[in-house]
Amino acid sequence: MDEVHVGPYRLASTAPITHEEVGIPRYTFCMAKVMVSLPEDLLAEVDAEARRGGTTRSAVMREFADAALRRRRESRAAAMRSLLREASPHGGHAADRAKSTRPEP
Amino acid sequence: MTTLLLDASVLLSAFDPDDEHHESARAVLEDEEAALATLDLARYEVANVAVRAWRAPESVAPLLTTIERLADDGGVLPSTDTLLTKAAEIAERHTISVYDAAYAAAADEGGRRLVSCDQRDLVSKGLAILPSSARSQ
Repeated sequence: MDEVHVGPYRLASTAPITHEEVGIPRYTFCMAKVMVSLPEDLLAEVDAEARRGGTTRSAVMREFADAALRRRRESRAAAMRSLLREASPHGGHAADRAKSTRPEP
Repeated sequence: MTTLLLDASVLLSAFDPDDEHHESARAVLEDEEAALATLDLARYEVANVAVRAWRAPESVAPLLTTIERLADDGGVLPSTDTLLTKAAEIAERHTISVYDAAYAAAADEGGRRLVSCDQRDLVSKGLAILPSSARSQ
């Protein structure tokens, strides 16, 4: 049986074309395409940012989303470091303790 | 990046230096690379252990604040009818409690990875990973 390849093909060949050959960065091959609704003034700002950085609208939105989520994780991690200063010994067996204090059926 | 769904045992372990998973549980909570979530059930479970098992009611506030911080990150998921129906199926299939299965169902629902210190009912059945394995996810 013929081998099945997923992705772009050369004409008259079964060998898949490499990402670099078609000028597509490797990482974009595993990206989902989505439709996003944005207010026009926000879209204008995104586009202005893309022009300023010499990049694409998609790249700007990716970068902003990544930066926002990273900030959120960093904020949570910092809060955890502070909260965990209150850790004190309680005898261990956390999983068993959680089970043993659940209501009986 | 996969969101890690933490069950109550991970939160409790992070606050108890006596627990064998304490260091790795703590490292997961302090990890800046992972998005973390939990289930609303965890609020009852951590408060119950703090009061009934630890006899340390003063630990309730920091434990609940920890869960609130997860709400601002990957979220605190509600135990909906749909989720608990799925949990009941998982509980039946794996012979575990609906409580444990609820975490597994919540993880499964959103493509999250369940992290637990429960070796016997969750990790050994392939439903969760230990905190020590979570940082490589």
